[in-house]
Amino acid sequence: MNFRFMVVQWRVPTLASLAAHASVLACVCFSLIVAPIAVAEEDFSSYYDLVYQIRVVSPQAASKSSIGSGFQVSSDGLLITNYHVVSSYVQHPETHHIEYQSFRGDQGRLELLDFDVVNDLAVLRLDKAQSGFFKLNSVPMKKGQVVYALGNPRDYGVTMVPGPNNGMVEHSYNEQILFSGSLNPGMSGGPAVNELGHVVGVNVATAGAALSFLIPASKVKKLAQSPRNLTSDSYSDAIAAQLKAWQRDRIQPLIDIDWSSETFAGESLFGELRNDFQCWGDTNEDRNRRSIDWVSKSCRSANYIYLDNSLSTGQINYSFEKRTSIKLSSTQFLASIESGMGADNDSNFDHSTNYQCHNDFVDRDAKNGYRRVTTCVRAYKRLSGLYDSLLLVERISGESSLVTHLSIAGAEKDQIAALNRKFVEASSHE
Amino acid sequence: MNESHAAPDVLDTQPNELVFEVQGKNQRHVERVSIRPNQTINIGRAWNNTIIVQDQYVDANHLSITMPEQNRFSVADNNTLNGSEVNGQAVCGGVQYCELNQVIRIGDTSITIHDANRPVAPALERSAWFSPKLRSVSIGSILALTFLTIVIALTESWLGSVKEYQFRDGATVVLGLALSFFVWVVLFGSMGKLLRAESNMKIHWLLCCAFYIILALIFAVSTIVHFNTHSMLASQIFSYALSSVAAIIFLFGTLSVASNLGSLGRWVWSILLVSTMLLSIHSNSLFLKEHQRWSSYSDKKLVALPDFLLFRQASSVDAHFDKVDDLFEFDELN
Repeated sequence: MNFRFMVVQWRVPTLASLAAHASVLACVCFSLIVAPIAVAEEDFSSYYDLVYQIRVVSPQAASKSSIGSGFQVSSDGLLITNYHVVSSYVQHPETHHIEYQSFRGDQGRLELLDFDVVNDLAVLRLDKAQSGFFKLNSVPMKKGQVVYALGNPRDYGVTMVPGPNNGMVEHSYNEQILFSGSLNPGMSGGPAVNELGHVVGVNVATAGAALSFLIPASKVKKLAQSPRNLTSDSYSDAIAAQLKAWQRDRIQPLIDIDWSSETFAGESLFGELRNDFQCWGDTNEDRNRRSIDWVSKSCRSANYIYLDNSLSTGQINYSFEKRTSIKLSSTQFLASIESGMGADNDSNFDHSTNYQCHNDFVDRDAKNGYRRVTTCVRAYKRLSGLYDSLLLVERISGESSLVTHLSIAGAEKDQIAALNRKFVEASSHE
Repeated sequence: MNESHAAPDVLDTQPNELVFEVQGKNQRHVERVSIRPNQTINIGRAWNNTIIVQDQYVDANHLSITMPEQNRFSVADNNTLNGSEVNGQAVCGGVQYCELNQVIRIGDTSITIHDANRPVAPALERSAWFSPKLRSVSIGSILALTFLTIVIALTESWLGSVKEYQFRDGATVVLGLALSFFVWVVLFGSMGKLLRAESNMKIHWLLCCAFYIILALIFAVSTIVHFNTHSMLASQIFSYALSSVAAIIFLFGTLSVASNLGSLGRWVWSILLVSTMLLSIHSNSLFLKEHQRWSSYSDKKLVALPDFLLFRQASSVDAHFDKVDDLFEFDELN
């Protein structure tokens, strides 16, 4: 069950979304029974002219370091692509620049005007605007309606891929269209149009054969119309501000809602907190020669944000594991408990500090053993005010242990503190 | 007739017990030798000599000594490069006579022949710390300490086992321990035999047992320290400091019975060996640059022990999160 999303971008083939396992499975099954796609009767040839290949170029290497697709949405040369297509430029504007190549072979420079890391969009301006451009669709789409994704897969030339729209992806906090067409690396940022040639979405990711995802046109419209005051000095501040706003809207409801109780291995805990969380369980009960019984549940939020090849954020994961000794003595069972924690998001020395940790024994009695709480925090070096947090709550006695774990990536201090506290309280129901 | 000749033959062939005291430039050793009248003893650097002298100015087969009459010796130099002296007189191309307690000099080495029935000062002084008591231990004490070591090793491995403990697990531990002790004892016993002409196997075995027991205790206490303080650093400093001291004392003891080093030399070598070992284990982490110290994992490796080993006061969730507030301050960002 380890499905991975693949970024539709050359050189960044895996924009790993650990989320949406169930929907991925459901959609894989769905793709096997989908009806044959009707051949487009309309003439789409003119739309090929309006699709650009976007290249982030590293002058030192005298070569492109990543490619994607893009399309013009206004007469004054505004061009839309994915944020992840130009992310290497955003992270290192001093050593990169962005170029385009049109369907007819024209080349030129692009200026980055704005981006939306949450919805994976970027707005650029062409140095020479063309007269033709795509219009954005504003009519609601029907499920099963065929859409046509355009892009330049693997630098082979502009290609059109038809496939039905399956509505919005379930179990996702961010809105994305589930598109049953085969997007390939290099098509990221290309337009997906309806039969009228209006853009209904932007190619963004794939999770396998004919299982792809589009960013709705409404998000493009909002970004294209928003005021802009972005400079290369303020990219990090802009990313931090966007992440803070997104996380606040996403985490605060989790803090406010009641975490309805759900039984896990005889313990009163909780399950999927919201529609965008999915839980998976496992146990070793079917194994014969075991000395410890264990049951585990792991829950993940569907969404996270790709910022760079080496940096992702926004993951919220939690898990429970109950272990009961069958054949071990008390001291042997305790020796088998060795806990450690690691980050769930990608990062490195350039982006994050090391973790700082603190732990306490918070309860203790002779019958039930003791409870230990460990909290670790690390800061983002360039995204001021954002932190990753790891929380571990262990209830340990000589015969059994219950370990609950919460990991939050890319949130503000007060949100982390409140969510951690809520998690500890909800994990302590007797 | 035959009988009258037989008596002096028997007397003549009775061996004389002698002690050769060999005083080199850096070391002194004594060797007990039985010599019969007219029997020849060879002295030199080569392995086939009766007395081997480690001196670069001595020839491979330097001197031959015979005893033509009681307590009187004839010393013959074998045409050596640097020659030989008896009582300050050169042995030139022939034979020089010498008596008990006179000094024969070859190269940088002086050789004195003593009567074995008279006391001769021992070549090596025993370590005041280790030898007297350890040399007198009985086989019972050795068995008792070995038994204690096995019990501790088995307990340690049983406590640390995360599966059902089986006979072969215990057998592996005991055999592994016995093999490593055996290798150590043979290695340093042979070294002692070569350098001191005594193997001291029993003492090496006892030292191994004692060292293992002390290490096991240090490990147990450091686990309890780790459990209570939750500080890897504190428990590591604790265990490394104590086990280093134990290792230095163990090596000091080993060198005391396996080498000719003086007290200062033994301490210096023990400290050097332990320091080198610590450095080789930690050299990587000591010289890491800042970015190499970065990890996506927390440095908290938590261990669990029984409740009765918890000496730390229980806190509350509120107090925990109050302290967590300080975690959001990062020095490297300031």
